[in-house]
Amino acid sequence: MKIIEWSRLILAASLMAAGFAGAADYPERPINGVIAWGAGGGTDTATRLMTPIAEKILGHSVILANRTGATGAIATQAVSTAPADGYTVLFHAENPQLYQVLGISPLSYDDFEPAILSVQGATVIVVPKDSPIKSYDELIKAAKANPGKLSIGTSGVGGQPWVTSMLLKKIEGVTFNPVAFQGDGPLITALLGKQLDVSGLAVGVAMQYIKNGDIRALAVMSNRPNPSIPEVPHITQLNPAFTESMKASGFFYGVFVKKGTPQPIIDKLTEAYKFALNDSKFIDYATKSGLDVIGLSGKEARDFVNNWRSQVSWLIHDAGASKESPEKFGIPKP
Amino acid sequence: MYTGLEGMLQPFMSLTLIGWIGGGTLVGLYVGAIPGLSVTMAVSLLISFTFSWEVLPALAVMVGIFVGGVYGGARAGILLNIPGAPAAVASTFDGFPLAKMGLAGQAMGLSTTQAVIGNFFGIVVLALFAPLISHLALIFQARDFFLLAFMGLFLVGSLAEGNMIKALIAAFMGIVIGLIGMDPETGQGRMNFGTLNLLGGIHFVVIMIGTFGISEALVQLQTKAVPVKQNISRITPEWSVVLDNMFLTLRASTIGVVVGALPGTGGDIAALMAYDHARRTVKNPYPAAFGHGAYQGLIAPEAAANAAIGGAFVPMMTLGIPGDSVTAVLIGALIIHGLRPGPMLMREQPEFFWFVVGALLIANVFLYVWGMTGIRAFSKIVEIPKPYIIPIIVVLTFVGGYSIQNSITDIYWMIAFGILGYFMKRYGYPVAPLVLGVILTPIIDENFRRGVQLSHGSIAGFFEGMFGSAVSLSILVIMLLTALVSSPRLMNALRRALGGKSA
Repeated sequence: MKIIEWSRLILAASLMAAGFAGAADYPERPINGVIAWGAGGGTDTATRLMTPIAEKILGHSVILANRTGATGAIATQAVSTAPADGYTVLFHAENPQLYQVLGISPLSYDDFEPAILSVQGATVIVVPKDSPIKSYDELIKAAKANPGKLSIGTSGVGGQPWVTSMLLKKIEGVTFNPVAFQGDGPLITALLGKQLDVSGLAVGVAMQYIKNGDIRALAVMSNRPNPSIPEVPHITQLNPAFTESMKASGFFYGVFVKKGTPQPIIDKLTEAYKFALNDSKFIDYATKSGLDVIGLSGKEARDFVNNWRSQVSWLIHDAGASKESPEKFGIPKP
Repeated sequence: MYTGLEGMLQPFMSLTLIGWIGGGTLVGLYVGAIPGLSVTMAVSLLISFTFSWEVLPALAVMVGIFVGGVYGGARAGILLNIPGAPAAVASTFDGFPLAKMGLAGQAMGLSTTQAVIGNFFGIVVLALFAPLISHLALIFQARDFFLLAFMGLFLVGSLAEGNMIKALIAAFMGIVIGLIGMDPETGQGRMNFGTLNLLGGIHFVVIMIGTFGISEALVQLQTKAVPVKQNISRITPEWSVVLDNMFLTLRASTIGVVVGALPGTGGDIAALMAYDHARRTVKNPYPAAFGHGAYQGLIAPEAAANAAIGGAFVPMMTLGIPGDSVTAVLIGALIIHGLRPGPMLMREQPEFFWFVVGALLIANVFLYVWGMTGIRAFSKIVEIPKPYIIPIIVVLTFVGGYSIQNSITDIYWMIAFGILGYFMKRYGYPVAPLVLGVILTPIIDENFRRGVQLSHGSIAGFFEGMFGSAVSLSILVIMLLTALVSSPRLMNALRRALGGKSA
């Protein structure tokens, strides 16, 4: 009996030692990187730009593979079932923070540790170039005069254009006629073809059309000016009532590992990807794509993703588009 | 439009670039020929591979892969009845029967010629009419996509092989399968039985390689047919065949360019629609009837699928909007290299547009060279004894099936659809309508709902709008004409009414 107990203890101790050694020497072999969105998309592009630079710090390669489907829930699930040893890393956007209320998956970023939140993107409210609406105030006036009549493009429930229309409803009390499109491509096509009255678009996507005069920008949904389109006013400047909801706004990309991964491993990933964020090639990409490099990690990153979830979950719930109440998951009201 | 024209000469003046384009075309041909290994995937892989390269060589090799890959899909379709890529589904309908007649070499030669002509047609349209075609993409509304996809369903009739009920049942199954997964608007699960594995839907390429590939392997295991001795004394197609059908080639290429240029529809739908068009308009196919080995049944989809390449580049280069899944990845690749295709790039660096045109032209030359030189070797594949070739095919389809989404679940689906396809073939249910249903359903579903939303929730308004729009009316007229032309009874009635003699 005694011998068995001793041997168990030794075994446990050696396993722990091995665990610590593993964490200290991390990484000892190539890392699997799972990208939750398809090739050529924003998450994919940012990841493929950061990773070769981060590899210089990691000393091993990160083998990237796209696992698409169900707004990234399939990739999220795959990483959550892998061991919490830092050898399976998730590259994802804001979507998991809505899986619970939309009934897509029981997972959320509560089940992961953010190694870094790399960039934050803002949405810009745009109208076709020869629209009679010339400013944000005129948009609100037009929407108030014709409640539910102006067609607004969205990319589906929970997407940024949809969130924008719901925020306008909450703060300004205006309603639109939502028209859903699959992704940015068809949405821009319809906007350039003047099939829509107004839409929200990611700044990076909208930028070139704004500069070319194909569409008119009215307001950036952010609490600060966007360096890529500094001439466009930001929403908190136009109406301070948006201040609270702009604390964690827009969309973001990040690098995540499963909860329970040893802290030294998370720190190593944070260090490597922070290094990548400071690379001139990445900064150049971020500027050209209208993205803010935020580089949040640790508690800051956790607060950001939680705050973001509170904002958007309750918007969805109040619009009657949720499958489950945010209360059920203990998501506090913003 | 014609500023930066010198960019077109750029690829011609560098042997390195020509080498990359030629190499890309060759690799693309083989990637395309392997079921499941797609051009989209090859270009995605190249993003990482060419990360540290200059932008022009990276773009050159991707253009080469694109052109080679679309063409390569037909190879496996003709030789093994397994389309190597979605765009080659329609090429199996008459390509494989031709191979069974011992005309595999002729069929591949013809497919090469048509690919080169179709591709050239697409490049000319891209170079000369890009602004016009991109305008069409802008005025194309949700209801027009709805009509177009609805017209695509006409193909069920062409594929019925005499038993319309069975074809409709297969198409209906495809439509139901196509609805599985996340609702595109609300994000709620549809027919996923609470499992995450079904929430992402079943990828249509997985269904395609299951129902065509695995089922074909099962069928061939069962039938003890002796491999057909191939006549490869002549591989260049007889020019009379090419010239006789030039008008069909041009019509199919037009379908290819337009469908390719519309965002959200690509070469696969273009090829299927062109096949349907050929079947309904060509009255005397040879050497055999449609579905039994007609050259015309191969000419139309091959020309259309390859013309769709030039078409897909139109909205990508002029509007910054991808025309198909490959150009979507290409845009991402260019962004990594610091270039964002679209109106600003057209204005500030128009030479990039012309570089793409030049690279496409060079790729087209290589397409002819690689296409023609490989035919004799490829023809031998059909003659390989089945105990050797079938295991190889199955392994390749498994690799291909897994690589689409790096998902093991997809392999299970592929096997399940292989077994389903086997029983369908055994009991005379055509499998193509099933795949057609899966491909067209999301387009019909999304665009019907979008169209109704655009007319402020009024279904009546959605249909009324069709009569007030030139684009919708044109599609409606084409639909009616197609129905008319392909119905001998209606045609006779019309001839009598017009006082002509009836056939």
